Amino acid sequence: MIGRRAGSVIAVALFAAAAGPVGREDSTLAVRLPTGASRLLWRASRAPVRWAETDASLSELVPWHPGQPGVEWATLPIAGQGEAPALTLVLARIDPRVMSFDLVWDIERDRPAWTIDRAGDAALALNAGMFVERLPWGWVVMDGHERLAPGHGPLSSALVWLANGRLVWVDGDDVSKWRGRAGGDIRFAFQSYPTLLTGDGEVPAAVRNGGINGVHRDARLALGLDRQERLLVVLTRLDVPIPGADRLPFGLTVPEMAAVMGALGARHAMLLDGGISAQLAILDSTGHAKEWRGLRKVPLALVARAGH
Amino acid sequence: MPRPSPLLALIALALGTSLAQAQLPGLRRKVRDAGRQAVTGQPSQQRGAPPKFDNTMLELNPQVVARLIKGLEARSTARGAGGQTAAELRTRSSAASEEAATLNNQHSDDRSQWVNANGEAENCVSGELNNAEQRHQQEMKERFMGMTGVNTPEKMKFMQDWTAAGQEAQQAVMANDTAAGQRAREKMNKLMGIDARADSAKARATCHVPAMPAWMRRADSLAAISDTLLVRARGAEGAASAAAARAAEMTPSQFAMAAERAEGFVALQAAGNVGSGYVFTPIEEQALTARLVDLKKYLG
Repeated sequence: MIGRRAGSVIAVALFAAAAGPVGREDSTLAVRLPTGASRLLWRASRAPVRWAETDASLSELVPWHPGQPGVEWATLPIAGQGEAPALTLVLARIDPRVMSFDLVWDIERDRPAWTIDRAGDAALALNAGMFVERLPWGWVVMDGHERLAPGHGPLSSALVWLANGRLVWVDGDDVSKWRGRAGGDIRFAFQSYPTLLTGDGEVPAAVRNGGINGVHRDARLALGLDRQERLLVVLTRLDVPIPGADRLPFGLTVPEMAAVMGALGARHAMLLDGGISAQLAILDSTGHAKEWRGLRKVPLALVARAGH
Repeated sequence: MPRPSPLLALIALALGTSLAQAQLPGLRRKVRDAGRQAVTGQPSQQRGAPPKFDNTMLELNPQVVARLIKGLEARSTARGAGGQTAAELRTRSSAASEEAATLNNQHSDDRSQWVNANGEAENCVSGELNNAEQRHQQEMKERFMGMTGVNTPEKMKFMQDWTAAGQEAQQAVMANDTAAGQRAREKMNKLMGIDARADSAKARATCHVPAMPAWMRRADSLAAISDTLLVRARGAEGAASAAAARAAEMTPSQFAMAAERAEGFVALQAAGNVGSGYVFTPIEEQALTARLVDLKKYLG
């Protein structure tokens, strides 16, 4: 964001006067360009407190490809730091107006059983929610039926899909307004944490000021809703020259993921279970599956298909 | 994810002038190692930048791994408020859910037929009750019209009781007291000779409201039991994790991180040990390998 090329729009975000605790590593994120150069995207010490719009200098670098109708996807090489100096972001955006969704509950013999191998002909599939030990942490509504009561925590968010096809994003842990409608017009709902962006692109104070661990690096999977009401999915993969090792659990910090989601134009965003759980499958426009595997089977997945 | 060698070269080139210059020696070594692997077919002992250990992420040395296993054992045997482990509650929940699913699958068409028939019947009941309500209002109107003229003790008593019940109803509304409101309405109905239960029973009989089949009642009951057990299982999981951290002499976040990393190690072993050297130090790999059988028992 800061330090991008001259002439680019700089009023995209409001900047914190003194963001970043004293003594914390001033981490940066940069896009790795085909020329071998890098373009700085974000710096912790000048991190925005709010992402008011898509970062134009980033969006022009994202090579969006058509997937199945309603889905676009891309990969973007970035330079991180610490254990994860070279990463690839796997990006997807989904138009909910032309998609249908399923929340899949998959536990067999007391073990989580879902992997992207079970995505079938889904246009896009990924693990959903956050997991305690073997069960989802938060609220789970499937086909209008509440399977698990809401979890509580100030940095949680929820995604609700209504019978009329509208997606509703809930910032915070108060889902009482929607919970009473389970069995009515809610098709699915689930919660996760931590919240990355809230309101209209605001980075929660706890994410900015070290209220939560802001230095741990892990493979990340984030879900957001952008200003065109599209679902935005971002997965990090480690770039290492070892086949199959891209799923190693090194990646970005929580503040860095908030920056990625904000720069891509998300108004709301939350992390899903990352680390060894993170996995994503996308069908490209020819019907060929692009797969980014995880190391763990999970109990809950979000599956998107073309059409209603 | 397999990457062709030209891409590796490009990445190495790109990184050579990128912000990640501090990582260059490590990255160049990794690229060399990848080349060696391509020639020999054997994965080399490749290592990335070592993980940063701190107050959340402990190095999984032999002592920490031993404490972790104590914690995992405590987690697997911790009993919740009802005396059952999280695993037992999850298993019972799954069994109830599967039985409900089996019943629903056996009667998949029956449920939709019943739902449709019940929906039509309930619409009919609603109409019948609406008719009864209009009839009662007409009767009430006629009764009040009949109150004009000579006052009798019976009429006086009715008016006093009606006024009192009306005031009770009004107060209940102002106090937002649903139960008091219901009691006041019942009094007013009784004064008017209205039997709401009889009206409802008559309407349901007239409209032939179908009884819920026994299998559906059973399936719905099992689903509700499954959900209740699931919520209890999740609570037990949370409590067991806290007990596990205590047993492992770690903070909850230290234990969660150690368990996640150990699970990753077990999963990497199962997947051919690809890239383990990037995530774990040699000390950790030795300690985790030495206790792999124990770890698989809880995390495999």
